[in-house]
Formats: sequence, C-alpha cells, structure tokens
Amino acid sequence: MLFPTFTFAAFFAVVLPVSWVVRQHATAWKLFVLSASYLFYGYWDVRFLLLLAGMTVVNEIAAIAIHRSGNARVRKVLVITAVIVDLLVLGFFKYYGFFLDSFDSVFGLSGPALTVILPVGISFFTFQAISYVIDVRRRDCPPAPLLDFAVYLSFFPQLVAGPIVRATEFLPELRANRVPDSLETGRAVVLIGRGLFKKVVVADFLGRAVVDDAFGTPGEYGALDILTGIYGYAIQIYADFSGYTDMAIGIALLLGFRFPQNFDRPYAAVSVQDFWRRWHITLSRWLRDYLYVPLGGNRRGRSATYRNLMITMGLGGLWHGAAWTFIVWGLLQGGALAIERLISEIRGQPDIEFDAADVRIRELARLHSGAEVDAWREDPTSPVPFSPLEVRRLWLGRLITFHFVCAGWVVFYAGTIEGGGLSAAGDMFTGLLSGWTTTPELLNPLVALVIIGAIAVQYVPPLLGRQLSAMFSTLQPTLVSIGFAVWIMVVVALGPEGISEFIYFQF
Amino acid sequence: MDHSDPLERATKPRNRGETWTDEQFRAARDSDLEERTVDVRSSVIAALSCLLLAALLTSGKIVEIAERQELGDTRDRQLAVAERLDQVANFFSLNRPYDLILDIRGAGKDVGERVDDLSALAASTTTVPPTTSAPTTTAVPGSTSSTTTTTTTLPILRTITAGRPLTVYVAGDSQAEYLGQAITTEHPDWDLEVEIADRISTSLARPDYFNWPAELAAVMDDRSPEAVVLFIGANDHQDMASAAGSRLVEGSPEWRAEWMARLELTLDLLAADDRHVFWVTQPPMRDGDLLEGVALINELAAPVVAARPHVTAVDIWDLFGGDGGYVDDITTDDGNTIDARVDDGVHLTRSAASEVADLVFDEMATVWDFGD
Repeated sequence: MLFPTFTFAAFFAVVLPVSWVVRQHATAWKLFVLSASYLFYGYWDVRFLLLLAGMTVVNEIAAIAIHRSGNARVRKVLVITAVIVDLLVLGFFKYYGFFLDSFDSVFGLSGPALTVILPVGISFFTFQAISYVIDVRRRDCPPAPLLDFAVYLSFFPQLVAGPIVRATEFLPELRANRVPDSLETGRAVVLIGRGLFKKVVVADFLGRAVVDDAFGTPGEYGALDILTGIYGYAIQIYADFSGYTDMAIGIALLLGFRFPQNFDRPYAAVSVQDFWRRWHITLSRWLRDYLYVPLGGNRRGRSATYRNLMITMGLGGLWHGAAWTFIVWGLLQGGALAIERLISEIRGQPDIEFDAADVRIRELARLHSGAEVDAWREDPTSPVPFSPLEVRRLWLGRLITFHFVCAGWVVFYAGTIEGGGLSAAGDMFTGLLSGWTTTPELLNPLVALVIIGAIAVQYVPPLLGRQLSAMFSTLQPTLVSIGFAVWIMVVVALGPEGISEFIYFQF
Repeated sequence: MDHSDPLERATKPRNRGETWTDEQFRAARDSDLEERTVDVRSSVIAALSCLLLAALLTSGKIVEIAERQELGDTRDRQLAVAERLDQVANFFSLNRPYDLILDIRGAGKDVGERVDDLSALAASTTTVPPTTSAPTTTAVPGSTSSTTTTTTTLPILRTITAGRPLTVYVAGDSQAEYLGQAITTEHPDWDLEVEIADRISTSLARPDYFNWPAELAAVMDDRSPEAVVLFIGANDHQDMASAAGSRLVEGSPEWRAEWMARLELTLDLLAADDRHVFWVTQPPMRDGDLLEGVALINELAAPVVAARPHVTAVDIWDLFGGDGGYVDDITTDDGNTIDARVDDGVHLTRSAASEVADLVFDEMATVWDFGD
C-alpha cells in the first residue's frame, strides 16, 4: 500500500495507537510492529513475505556465526558468503533477465527464460542486510536477537524505498527498550505534510502534465518543451523520492524512531561531489562505507581513486535498475567526480568536507572583521558577505552542476522505459537542437511556476526551515491536528486522479 | 564567553581572524532551534483526530474510491462506511471546501466522469444495420499463422494531405497511452493529427467510474475525428450493474448480453459517413484470471465488430502468444526479439505498442489514401 492513500491512513490509524499501548511491553511491541510490517509488505504480494523472512533468517544466522567466531579468516569467509548470498538473491530477482539478455548479446549464450517478478523494495532491504553483517564483522555492533533484527529489516516506514537505515542507528534503540514519553509531533507533521504535497501535487502533476509526453514522444515537441520536460523530470524525481522519504521519516517519528536525513536541497549543490552529499544521502554513505572505502577509497594513489570512484558509481547506477542506461548514468557520475577531484588537485585545494555554512565562516573570518561575521551569525538568513568573485563562482558551479545532473536524469529516465535504451535519451538531446521557435505546448504558466518554485525552494536557507519547524512545534496539538487535516484535504483536492507509484519503487 | 547566549555573542568584541570552531557555532545556532515535543498520549490523540477530520473533509473522495471497487461484498461494506461518513460530513458541511476546490480546478470536466447512466444514450443512438462481410487476411509480424481481420471492402474515404491531415482519436484504458504515442510518432510521413485519451482503470463494465459511451458521444459531437482507435477491455473482467441496478456476475449469460449491448452502443454512436473505427483486441495476459477475462472479451467483441461495416478489428491475440499463452518477448518482422510486456504482465512495452501501431496503420491504409 502506498503512503498517500486512504488505505494506508486506515492502516496507520490502527497501528499508531496500538503500537503505543503495547510499547511498554518490549516483546509484545516488537511482535506487533513485525506483524504490521509484514501485513504492509504482504499487501503488495504475499509471496514477497517468504523472501523477506528468508533474508532475515539467513543474515541473522550469518551474523551470529560471524560474531561467535574468533578466527579472523573464518569471519571473513562467513561475511563474504553472506554478502554473496544476499547479492545472488538480489541479482536473481532484479537482474536475471538483464544478465541473460546481456550474455546473449555479447557471447551468444542463452539461458532458461523465466518470468521473475521483482519484489518491491528488494534493493533497499538487501543493502540493509549486507550492512548489518558487515557491521557485525567490523565489531561496530553485536548481532541482535532474531526478533530485533526482523523488526529492523521489515520496519514498514522504510521497508520499500528507504532511507537505508544502519543497524547501528536502529538496533540500539530496540536493545535499550527505551520508551519515549514525548514525540517531535510538530516536526513529524511538517515532514508528512511536506512529503504529501511533493508527491501527490508536485511529482504527479509534472509527470502527467509534462514528463510523460515529453519523454514519450519527443519528436512531437519543440526544444522549449523538451527542456521543460527535462527540468520537469528533475523536479518530479526529486519531489517523488524526497516526498516519500519525508513521509517515511515523519511516520517513524510518530512511532518514536529517528531516521537519518536523506535529502538536503540537492539542486543547490555547487559541484557533483556536493550533489552526492545531498541526494539519497543514505545510499551515498552506504556506497562510501561498504564499497568505496573497502576498495581503497582515495588512499592508494590518484589512478586507484579514480578507478574506485568509477566502480562505486557504476555499481550505484546498476543498483537503480537492470539496464545498461543505469550503468552509463552511474559511470557519468563517477567520471564527473573523478574530473572534479583532478581539478581540485591541480588547483591545490584540500579535500575538505563541504559544509557550506561552516567552511565559509572559517574563510570569511580571514577576510572580514569579527563583527561582520558575528552579525551574520546573528541572522544566518541574511546574505553572506562573499566577494563578488566568490558569488560568481558559487552560482556558476550551481548552474553547471544542476544542468549536468539534469542531463544525467535524461539517461536515467531512458533506463526506466521498457526497450528505451540510450536511443531514447538521444531523442531527447537531439530534440534540444532544433525547434526553439516552435510554440510550446507543454510549457504553460502553471508548469513554469511549479518548476521554478521547486528549484527556488532549494535555496531557502535550511536554518529558516528549522526555525519555521521549531515555531510550528510550539502550536497546540489541537491546532496542529486541525491544520494538518485541512492540509490533507487541500492536497487530495489538488492531486490528480489516482496516485501513481513512487518512481523509486521500481528500484 | 557563553557561546549559546546571543546577547553575549553580539556584544563581545572579537579579534580579527578569531573564529569559532564548528561545534561552537552549531551549539550557538541549535540552541535557538529546540523543537517542543508533545507527550505521546496527546500526540496519538491528535494524530487520530487529524485522520478522522481529514476523512470527513474528503468524504466525497472516499465515497468515490469505494464506488470504484469491483462489485461485491467488499465494495458494499466499504461503500456503506464511506456513505455514512459522507452523511456526517454533509450534515456539518465539512465536505463543502473540498467540492469548492474541485470546482475551482475544473476537475471532472470529462463528460465520462460526470454521466453515470447509459439509458439516455441508448435511447438516442441509432443501431447500425448488421452486415456480413468477407474476411480479409492480414499477416501478423513474426507469426507463423495469419491473423484474420474482418472488414467490409469499402471505397477509400478520401486522400489525406498535409493541408487536411487525418484526425485520429485513440481512446481506451491505460494501454491506450503507448499505442497512441506510437501512432503519433511511428509514421512521420503520414499526415496525422492524433489525440490520445487514455483513462486509467476504465472499462465498459463500469460507466459509474468512467462512462466511455457518453465521453465518446461528446467527443464525436465536438471534434468529430475521422479515425477512432479503441483499445479497451482489460479492466472489464468484473461484475457489472444492470440498468435496473441488479448485479450481473461476470461470465453469466446476462453479463455477456449486457456487455455486448454496451459495446454495440459504443460502436453505433461512433458511426458516421466519414469515420472508421479500429477495435484493437486484447492480448493474452500473464495472470490466469485476467487471461480468461480478456479471452472472454475478445470472444464477445468479435461478432459485434464483424457486424459493423464501419469497424475493423485489429487482432493482436496471436502476436502476443495466442492460444499458446502469454509471452514476454516477441519477434518482429525484421527478426529482432523485443520485450513485449512490462513487469506487470499486462501492459505492452513501447516497442510492442509500435508493432500494434503498425497493424493499425495497415488497416488505415485500406480506408484512406495516404499518397504513399
């Protein structure tokens, strides 16, 4: 069942109060949440439950065996075996047809044609399972009791489309049997309300009004409409995925759990590296910690670093879908990261964690008086006193990064089209080469408003958002309840007929 | 210095070059942003109250969703709850704001969404006299057998030119989207003006959800396209309500008669001297129940279509597996194997839709002169 549906609302209206009634009794609560999560997942297809249960048992057995073994080599073999089993399961359900077609194309080898149904969310909970066994091997966390691990892997707010929550973030809360006596209800409401609006109104609107037509029949439209389609898809995929994540985080908050942030204004990124610190953050850190760093990261010289970036991002692309276009998309991202790194090295710039506010404060203090810096800190929403050159470089970086990302999305979208391939992406790009004087059919004031508005919101200072959220949390619960109900009504009324599935469900 | 005190931060002089550490800055910033928490009991009560109020405010939508369910006990139960909710909302006028927003948006502008009843349309539609016709054969790409399409040999309606392109209306359920797009793009040398009207989850079985005959009648009246391509039927495998309100069980003799009558009505209201209709049959489906359902639809549609000279059947059953059953891939005319179906085992891929479009083009070429 999808989050923004009445079915889920009815489900949650039962799960929420019962969950808190039994919360004092740890085992009963875990069993209840596990049952609710299995009901949630089984709503798509009851057969999926066998897969989820099987993955739970296999990975738990592996984790216990790893933990109990005192021999480092044995532990290594066990973790590699567990990871291979997980990847084989993922590979079979998600990539069987892709590998079959690819081997046939390249080597002329064919295999048994099977109709394999892709279980919803398999990419997400497989990665969570892998991170669990690796963290146990690294001694970052002990193996959890089976019930705890089952709850972690199946917890319904993040089961089907993330965020990819680490075992080290979730399991300690279960282990502590901590029962919160208060909730960040205001923040939860803001997140769910924002997520609903992004998914139901923004993403679905752009999909039906612009994206489906522009990408479906690009030859029928002029360059302005093609460009609108590309920008529209950039906003659609962001609103769709971040909207889902917002709802997931908000729902988890109401159940007493804090999930990590998954998006941080990605279209305000000043570089591709910055983009990947803001987009699908939990996947980026997973790839960094479980793939890039084990490959050697940036510790083995320049060539190895670039190779590791390409491998990590290429596989990250493949994670998104079983098509060469996703791999190409990933390699493009890896290539851009490698090029940025090379440029930084040539310029002699240190590789620093890019946190805009704090890095600039350090830089600013060398250029301006303490009073000016302090005055800015008093009101962080005021314009930062950058030099004109800094400002130009900042905005140029944002412009280039945004358009590189959009170009990547065109390749990405082609991978979601059955039989699309790179030629489908090529059709979009060639559509930009001509027809600039053709009267646009897809671009209209409402579409322009939604796209520009969605991009503009990326530049709202995060501090302002948090201040608003803090202010909202001071309102009386009754007022919040009424206000949110009205908001739901507005979203339902503005939404299109029917709810399309989340884009990231297919990954 | 107390870095968490804004007044102290503002008033204490700083030396040039002196900076805070990241931790000091964050501590100062975050102290102003503490979110007030709410006790669990109040939070849960507020959440449940919110959901209840939201349900009352959107009761009209909930009723609509319940009505859309397949006829049966589940639907009856859901509808009973939804209608009770709507009664309460109506009493307190809580559902008015939602209706107001819909009116402002202009939602529900399709005639098909607003008209439930078929009886008025049935009364005003002239039945087309049945005719018998000699079948002609169309070769199906990639198939070893030929697919029979039935058409009366008619004179060419007219020659299509750039100045007077052929107006095409592609209508149906969600399957119609890709077919419509393929018809739009796959024959760039033909002068076509294509309008695509795909309406998800629609059928002839449920005019209460979307009334295709009413919608088509309105479109013919307004725009009068010369070619109409209908691709509908995959959602028809469900019980229907008769005009008298009784429930007709899928597959029963009464259901069959009613469905054929609705198809007859639909095709008859499309009849016009300068118009031709192309009825695209359903392909095999992966799900067993759905496969039986669409096979029944094809069986019922065949004689209705054959009896109407202004309608041509485009039979795609064999192209997608035929009586051998559902297939994921098909081989095209030029020997390529393409993915025919998306993951749901129902919808055609774009490539497959292109193959279907080619069959439609073949039939169009017998009705209009495209100057090839």
